[in-house]
Amino acid sequence: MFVRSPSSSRLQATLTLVPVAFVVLSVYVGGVLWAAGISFTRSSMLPNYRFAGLTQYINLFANARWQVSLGNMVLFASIFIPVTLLIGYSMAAMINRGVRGENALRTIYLYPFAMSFIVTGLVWRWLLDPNFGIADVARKLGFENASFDWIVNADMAIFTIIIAAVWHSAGLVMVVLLAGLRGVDDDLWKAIRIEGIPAWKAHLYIIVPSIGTSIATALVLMSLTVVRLFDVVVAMTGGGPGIATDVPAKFIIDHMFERQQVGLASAAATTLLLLVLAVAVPLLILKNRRKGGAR
Amino acid sequence: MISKLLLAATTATALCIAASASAQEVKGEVIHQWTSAAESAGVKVLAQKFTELGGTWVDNAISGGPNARSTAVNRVVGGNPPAAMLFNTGAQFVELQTNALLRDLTATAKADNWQNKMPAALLNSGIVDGEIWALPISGNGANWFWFNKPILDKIGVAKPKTWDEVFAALDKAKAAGLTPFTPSGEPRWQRLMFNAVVLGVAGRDTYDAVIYKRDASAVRGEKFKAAVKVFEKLRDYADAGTPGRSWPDSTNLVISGKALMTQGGTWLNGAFAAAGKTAGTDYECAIINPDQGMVISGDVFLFPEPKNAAMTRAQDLLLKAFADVPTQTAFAVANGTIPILKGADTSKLNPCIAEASRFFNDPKLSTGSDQMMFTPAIVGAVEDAITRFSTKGGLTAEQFIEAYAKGLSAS
Repeated sequence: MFVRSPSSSRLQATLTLVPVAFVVLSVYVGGVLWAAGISFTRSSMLPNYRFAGLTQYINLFANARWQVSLGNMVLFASIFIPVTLLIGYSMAAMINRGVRGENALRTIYLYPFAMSFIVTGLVWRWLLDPNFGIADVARKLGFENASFDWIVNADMAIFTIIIAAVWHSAGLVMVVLLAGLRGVDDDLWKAIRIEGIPAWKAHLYIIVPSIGTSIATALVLMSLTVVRLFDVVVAMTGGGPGIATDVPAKFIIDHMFERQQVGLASAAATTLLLLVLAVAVPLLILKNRRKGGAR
Repeated sequence: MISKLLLAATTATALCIAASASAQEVKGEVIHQWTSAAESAGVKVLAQKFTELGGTWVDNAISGGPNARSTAVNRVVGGNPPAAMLFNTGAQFVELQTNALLRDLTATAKADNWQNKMPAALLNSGIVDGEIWALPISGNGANWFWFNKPILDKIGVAKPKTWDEVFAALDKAKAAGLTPFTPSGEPRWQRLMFNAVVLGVAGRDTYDAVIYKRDASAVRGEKFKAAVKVFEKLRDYADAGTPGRSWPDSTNLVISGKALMTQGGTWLNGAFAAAGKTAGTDYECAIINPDQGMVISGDVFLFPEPKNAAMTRAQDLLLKAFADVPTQTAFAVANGTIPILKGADTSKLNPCIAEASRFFNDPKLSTGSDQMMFTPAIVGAVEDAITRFSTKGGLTAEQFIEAYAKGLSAS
């Protein structure tokens, strides 16, 4: 007989987790705390420990680029998240009805996500180019006055980034929500049919609340996209025209490396982390509570 | 990532094998960002000379200046420095020097007579407290304008020499239904063009006051304002595709005859040459208002404080190879940059580079770039101001001047 007692397997699990916990605490948490500490110093190219109080934060919030970056992140999030969710949900609901060629459609929808954000950015940059892109195709088709110059227009360029990002992420959201929809009990659908509830009402009031966990997962994934938004901007607009499409991650990278302002960049990174926590913590709590309630 | 790891592993293995094979070998690892065809040809020249002198060149090319520099800095701070590393000419190195991480080159410079070999503007940018910390390796002129010659002929205009002639040519090209001006829209090239306009319009005194003394009152003065107005006017001739466009794409529009003019440093000459174009018949290069001189920029090699005698020896050989006049000249010809050492044979140079070389070697006709004098933080701050002004609907001239003046005290 060789049966492990529950306590020994717990010990084993604990032992296995110790190295991971050590790495997480020392590398991630340690790194975050260190960066937060550096943000209160005068560090420029190399980190140093000359205390500067809140100088870096004051400079940061007086910086026009940082203000534009934060504004862009908020604008991006407030359009990108609902639009992607809506498109992703619509695609998932459509596939869930059992259309023919489901596998093919699912592959097509998910395909953009298989591409890196850099490639996505380059593709959309050329598609939206005012001289060679879609506008040119339209002109060649006979619409001689067709023009689409959002990508070089400071007021509209951020929306071209949103278009590319929605195209990139909608497939992933669809897959996550489809998994949720597949988990909806068949009896529920039968009840909806018997009651004769219109489809849109059924989705809005019955189905969506019952797949709350999947939606929370999709929201977390999309929030991550918002916060690390960097490569698509670099590939599509380089933050321009001017500083019109700058985002916090690009601000941080530029100042950390090229501009040798480690203190300022750390202040920006710390601010960004606090903003992320302010949004992510309530979401995670909500998600866990739902999970607990379902049990 | 995996391929990088593999590369690192193979390199490490190769190094171990090499180390055991010959203890006498003088290995010099050089971190640089010269990866384009012309640039690698230049590196080969340097590596060959180093090998001739008895060294073993360990090449560490990293694409992209900021990437190469941050790798090098991490290595230096981590206590595993390369023998030499490439930086832009200017204030980028100062913090490494103040932290005692660089080798003092003063003695070598004296022995090798750098003072008489190199243009003062270049050498001075590597001096802190009278000591020399950087070896200039390549030189460029930044304030050049480039024209498509067949278009100039078509609209009946000679190569412009003054700002009025430039605008007259642009107007004629526009009237002929051609695209007059395709500058690059990347922030650093917008900054380069702005400096070209400041030197050419506001003049050398104002330029030097701003760049060398960070004089905010000069920025708020009338001459600087006149330059801002000319820059604004030029901006309005730029085509719709300008924002975000790279310099090779922009140059290509002039090379292929789609546009009359673009702006950029002597490195644009390499793009014309690579397309098989000849200066004087296919394209023209000009500094507008050339009496005010040329903006010099370039690259330097830094030598980290050596860890042991073998590294000192490798650095000595590298210094000898890099400051050797024939090697330097051959490097510049291959690289398409200006030979920086005096006594270089300029007969093999293309007319544009030869002309740039003349400016380069005359202290009255050459002055430093902003990157040479400003800290990276200030370069970044004024660059943000310039790119916001370069965008239609961005800053007004007055707002821009204030933003630039404030940027001069960024840290």
